[in-house]
Amino acid sequence: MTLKNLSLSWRFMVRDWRAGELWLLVLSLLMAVSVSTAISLFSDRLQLALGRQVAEVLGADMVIRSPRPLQESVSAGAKEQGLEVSTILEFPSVVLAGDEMQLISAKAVEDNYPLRGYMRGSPQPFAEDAPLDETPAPGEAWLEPRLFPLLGVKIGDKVTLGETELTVTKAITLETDRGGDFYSLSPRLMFNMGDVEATGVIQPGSRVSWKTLLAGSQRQLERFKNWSQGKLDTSEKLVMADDSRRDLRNSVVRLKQFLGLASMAAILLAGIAVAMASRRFAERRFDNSAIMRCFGGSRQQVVNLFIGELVLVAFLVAIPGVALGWLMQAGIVSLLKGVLPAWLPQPGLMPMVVGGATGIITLLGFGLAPLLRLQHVSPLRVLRRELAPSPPSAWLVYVFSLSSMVLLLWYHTSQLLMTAGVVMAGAAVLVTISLGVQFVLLAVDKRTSGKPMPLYWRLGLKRMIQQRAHSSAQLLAFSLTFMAMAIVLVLRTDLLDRWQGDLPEDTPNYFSLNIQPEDVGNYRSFLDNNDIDSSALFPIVRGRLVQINGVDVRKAVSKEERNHNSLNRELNMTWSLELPDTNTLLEGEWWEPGSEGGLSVEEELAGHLGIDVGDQLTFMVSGRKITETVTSIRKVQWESFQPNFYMIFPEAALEGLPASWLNSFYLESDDKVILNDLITRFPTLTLMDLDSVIGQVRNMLEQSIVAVEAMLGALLLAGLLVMASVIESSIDHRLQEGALIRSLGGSRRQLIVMQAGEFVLFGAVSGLIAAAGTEFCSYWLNTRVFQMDWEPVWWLWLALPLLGAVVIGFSGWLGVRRVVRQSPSNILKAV
Amino acid sequence: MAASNLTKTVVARSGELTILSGLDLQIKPGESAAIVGASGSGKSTLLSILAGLDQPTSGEVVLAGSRIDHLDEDERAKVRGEHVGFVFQSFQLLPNLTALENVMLPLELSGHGDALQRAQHLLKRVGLEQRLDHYPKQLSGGEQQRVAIARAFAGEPDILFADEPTGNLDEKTGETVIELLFEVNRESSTTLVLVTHDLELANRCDRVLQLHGGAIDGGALNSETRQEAQ
Repeated sequence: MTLKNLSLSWRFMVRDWRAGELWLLVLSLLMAVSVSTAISLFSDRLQLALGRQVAEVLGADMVIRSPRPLQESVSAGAKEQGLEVSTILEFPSVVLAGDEMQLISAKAVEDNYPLRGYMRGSPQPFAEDAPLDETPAPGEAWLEPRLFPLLGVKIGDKVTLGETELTVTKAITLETDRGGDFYSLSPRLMFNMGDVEATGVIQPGSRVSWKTLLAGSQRQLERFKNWSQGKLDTSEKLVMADDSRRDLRNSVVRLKQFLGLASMAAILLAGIAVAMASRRFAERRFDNSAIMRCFGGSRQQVVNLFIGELVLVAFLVAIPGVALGWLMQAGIVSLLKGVLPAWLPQPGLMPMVVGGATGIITLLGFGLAPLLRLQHVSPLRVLRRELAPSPPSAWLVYVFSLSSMVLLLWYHTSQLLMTAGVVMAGAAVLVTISLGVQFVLLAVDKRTSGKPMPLYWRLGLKRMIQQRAHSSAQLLAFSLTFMAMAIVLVLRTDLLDRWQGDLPEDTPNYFSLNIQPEDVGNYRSFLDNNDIDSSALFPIVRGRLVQINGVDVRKAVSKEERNHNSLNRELNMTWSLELPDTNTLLEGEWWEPGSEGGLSVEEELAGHLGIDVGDQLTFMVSGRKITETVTSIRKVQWESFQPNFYMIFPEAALEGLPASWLNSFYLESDDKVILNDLITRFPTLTLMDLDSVIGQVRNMLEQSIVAVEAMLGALLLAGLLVMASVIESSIDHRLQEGALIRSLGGSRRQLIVMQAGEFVLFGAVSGLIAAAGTEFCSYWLNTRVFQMDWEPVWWLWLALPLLGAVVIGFSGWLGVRRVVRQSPSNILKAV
Repeated sequence: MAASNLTKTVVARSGELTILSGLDLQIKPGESAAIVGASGSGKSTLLSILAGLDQPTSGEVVLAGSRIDHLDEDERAKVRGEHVGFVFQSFQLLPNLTALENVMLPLELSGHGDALQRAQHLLKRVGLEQRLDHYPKQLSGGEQQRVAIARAFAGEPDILFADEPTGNLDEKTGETVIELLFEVNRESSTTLVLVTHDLELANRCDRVLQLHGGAIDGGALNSETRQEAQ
């Protein structure tokens, strides 16, 4: 295309704009660009924010765990690459205060700890706590409140840790990164990294764990991750925030998938709107191109002229569209202030580029195909108006539009195969439906021809039959719009139910650990007497996995898994007669009561270690070897806040081994006084307070829900615009026909009934198709993508056709009102 | 301009339909000719073949010195752009362009340098200098046809084809439009071929060609056949 052609295109665009020819195209394109930009930006920011929230739980975006301080070269490299670095040291120890002695979990931190998340504490134990923005100064120790009574100390007293004395200055109630392994948790003592040497606890062979916290932008993190590969030795393990917490991970993954899906739906809607608008644009250019051809324009010249115009429109609209999208997104964020995380990371450039590109690709993908038809407009059309160009080669259009769709969705979901599959399958279904509709119309025509029928039925039906392709395209557009909205709505409901199901109101918020075997009976009756809702009591036996099928475990597993966490520590094992409520059996069988042997292994661990039903596992427990054959593989619901175990045995298998007991229970905040009683009655018991962790998770879920609802709102808006553009795209014909009927003496009422009636019918039928499509898609998405259960949504079958009839009927009426209002001659002139 | 042994057949539901059969005709440069005939006699088909809008089934068409019957659509478009102007019964102005822009259109398509000035000049010539920025729907039928005439002459065509130019106009307006058409035609010494029902209009042309049964009846029209046609 030459510059001269482009300047002609430019002039035509300006003229068309002035003549009001472009507003529908511009509006739908503006919507496509702004909605997809807004959604991209919003979900980008939200994902970043959620990522950070998950990071809070880790205290950093990335952590390297090591038994020794991290190699100097690696931490220097991290700093050089612009990452924030903070080192912490954790080790179990004993603290002394006068005659009292207590097992504690010590943590030494640097001044910039934590890099993500926060701590809470109070100046006095059991007083109201507040966020802290400092760390223990050298010589200071911060203690968890329960340590104060256990040690008999108060603020200002000295405690001895190893070979040094520290002054107690604060009570620490929460570190967001403390989640993790509840079971071996002793009360916290936090002190300054500078005092570590003075304690003298770091001796060769002592059980300490170093953590190097890293924080930075996603790009820096990725770069560092790649850079550090091969530099870290086998004992240095790098963990990303994403894979650190199972109880949050599933929710986050589902939210991300949902956001991706909502973007997909929005883009689909935008695509439909743009497709309808550009089709109308092309059809209104039939006459133009016939005249131009008459006056010597070549096919190529004419087509280039309009394609040039389309491209110019695409680029010119993309820019303000992106700006509008940014504003929409900023609007959503400011509306949701207080619900969303206090700060949202600034979005990157990419979502804006993608938003703009979305519009351009959609317009070209959907708009070029109908414009190419202009090539086939015969100049004879100027003499014989009825000469419409032959329909374009259907394949060309579909391949073009579909591939642009796949391209876009691919970016948004980053799953090429899935996307392509969905789009292709969807397209096949749509083509089938479309052909089906045309077939039915023809059949109806045959059955009814010559039979008496009310005028408006006949006229409406005739038009639909004559313009079969157009009618079925419209019907499809409506169906797809309803479907996209319904799918997102249904999934939203399922997702919310699921999330609420993950963390019901009575989610256990306390764990009792270290219940001694002789106390079990009393403990159980204590809970019963106080009417406390609690889980079953589980015994814990700690043991190390040493052999698989008689082979040393490090040789038996694949190379990558040799350093799997489960091989480096003692596993919590239990025995149980029944399969725990929150577990599901995947393979094998649960044992019969009275079974002597058997072993049930958690699914993910089994996967990592390559364990199948029938394998023999050997554990070392308190110096004794236990060998059992795996009889089943279980799926564990980690988000449940119930006691969960990797290894479950029948009771006989672990008989006689040292065990303590554990359970979880739910206590309303008003009933917390009971806890004093509990601790006094069972002094050896360790109590874990999970309220703050659960609060964190709940908070995040609530934010996710708000986000999901905001997306749904944007989507509904997009849907309405689609309806408007589809209706507008058919309005020329209706205006003409309406004017004709009016001029022949048709009454206002007849006209309204005829036109709106057609839309009502259209709406109802497309609602029905949408219901079927929604059921199918939500079944597929629920079972394949979101891993949730599926149930048919019966109300859709009634609601969608009804909604369709009302919404489309009403919008249609709005559109054709013009027919009734204007003088018929005006309309004949304008078309 | 000449056509010899021109035949056009189309496939219709009832079988093959012959519209033109072995038609011969010659029109000299600067001459004006009217093609008359009953509805369905093939007037419009003949016009579209002569103007290169359509192709004959067989036979030769020579337009402005070159054969066009074997050219493809784009080559014919080029010939049209260089040599041919059109005026249509239904005006065929583009609704999204102003009067001025409609006249500029053929000039812009051929990359003419001073399209704007020439279009302004032509619109002034047809008496519409006050209407340059009006859209077709803001113009009366007669005004629209005057715009169409200005457009037809914009490319300085050698031959002007007019298809029932007064068909959509009342008698008085039609009269003025025709007057204008002949005037401008004379000034630019263009060959004029017009298709019409209107015998009065036909008689103003140098020659009248009566189309009957797919062929031309005689060279000019005598009074007898005139009455027959009436």
